[in-house]
Amino acid sequence: MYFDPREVGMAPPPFKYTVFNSLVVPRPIGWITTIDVDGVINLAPFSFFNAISAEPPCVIYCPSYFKPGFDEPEPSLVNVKATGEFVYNMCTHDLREKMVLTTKQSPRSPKEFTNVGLEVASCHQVKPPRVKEAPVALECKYVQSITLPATEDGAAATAVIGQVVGIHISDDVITEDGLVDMKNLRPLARLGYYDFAVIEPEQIFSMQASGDNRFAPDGKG
Amino acid sequence: MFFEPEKVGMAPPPFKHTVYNALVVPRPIGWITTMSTDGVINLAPFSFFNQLSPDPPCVMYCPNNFKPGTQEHKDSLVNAEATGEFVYNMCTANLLDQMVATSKHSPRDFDEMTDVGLEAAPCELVKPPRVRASPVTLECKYLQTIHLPPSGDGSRQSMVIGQVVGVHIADDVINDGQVDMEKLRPVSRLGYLDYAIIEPDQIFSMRSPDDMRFVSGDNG
Repeated sequence: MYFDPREVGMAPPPFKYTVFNSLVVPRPIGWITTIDVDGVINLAPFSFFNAISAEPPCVIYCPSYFKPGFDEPEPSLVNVKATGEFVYNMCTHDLREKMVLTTKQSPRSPKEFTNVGLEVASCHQVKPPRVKEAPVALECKYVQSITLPATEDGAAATAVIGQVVGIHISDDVITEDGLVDMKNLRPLARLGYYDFAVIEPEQIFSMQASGDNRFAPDGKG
Repeated sequence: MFFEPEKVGMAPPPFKHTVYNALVVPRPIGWITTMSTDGVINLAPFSFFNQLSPDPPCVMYCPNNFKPGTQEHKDSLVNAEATGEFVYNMCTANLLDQMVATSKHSPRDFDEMTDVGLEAAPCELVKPPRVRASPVTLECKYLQTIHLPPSGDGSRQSMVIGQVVGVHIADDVINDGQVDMEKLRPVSRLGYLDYAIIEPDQIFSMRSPDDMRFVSGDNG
């Protein structure tokens, strides 16, 4: 089927719900820590998130819509603009239930971490803490935000770009061969609707385009 | 371990290769069709790609750096900026080999879609064609390029943002009024040369108790 979302929206028949989140899958989960000017920690997951450049390393996440003058932007946007810092934590299979409890629909609390049973670890370059149990955390400095096109009623989403200035990798996901062990991470991914997937070791395989020698044993990549 | 990439780069000991691509996983694959002003089709995969907002629906991809060994910008950047259009095709398990083959860097006048034996299908609102065998295609109008911090070699680091104006979904992945996640088998990108396919038995549902968006009876 074909449709133009400007004419019929994102849930035309036969769809029961918006299909948008089903159309780009799987999405990585940016589990983002920020801190407000009073030191209150916020932790929330975003699947409109990804790495966007490698050198220098930058990432993006997209806090939800708000209508200027009517709605309060969410803490993940207010905090990063006020403090210039955020932290990405990788969500793995072990952390899935705690991650879901930090979605924005959950009640806000100054103790977002401890309420869901997560342990806090401090960062080196930025004030927001990282999730201690996450095998990968990226300390980020705010670079810029982009206001995305607004809805008909004037609400707009925002894309936040940050540069990675500090990298934590848990020693137990580093192989003796000097690689991050993809088979040990078991990262979580977001699909459509309420669906998630975990990347299990047996599904992982390698493919190489002809001429791509970046990760050859003697390559410089 | 902890390190600062500005001081030690992305492959400090004990790492043999850059670790960056291993740190945000799994990434979706934006298999992007563009067309040059001369009508040459370009098809290339980008894993620095994702959705940004649902209403109006926007997506982004990042055609960073020069083509390897050249001082030329990537065709996917030049074409989108010149013509204002691009198309996202979902890469699924049956298209894996062709997708990887289109990641090879080629001259501007080279049509990757034909080269790897993929059938093009016309789009409704934009000129670049879609991959007919892909179950999901998004026709996009270029909105803007965000210039990311420069890398030092003079190449551009660019995030291209587009608005989705046309949606193609294959009828055989629509089931009971939903896109059938178990039928899609999308390919995702991990670190190094690694990929993973999302198979039905890894998919599970979770929601916070107050998230009612997709509960029957609600209008989502």
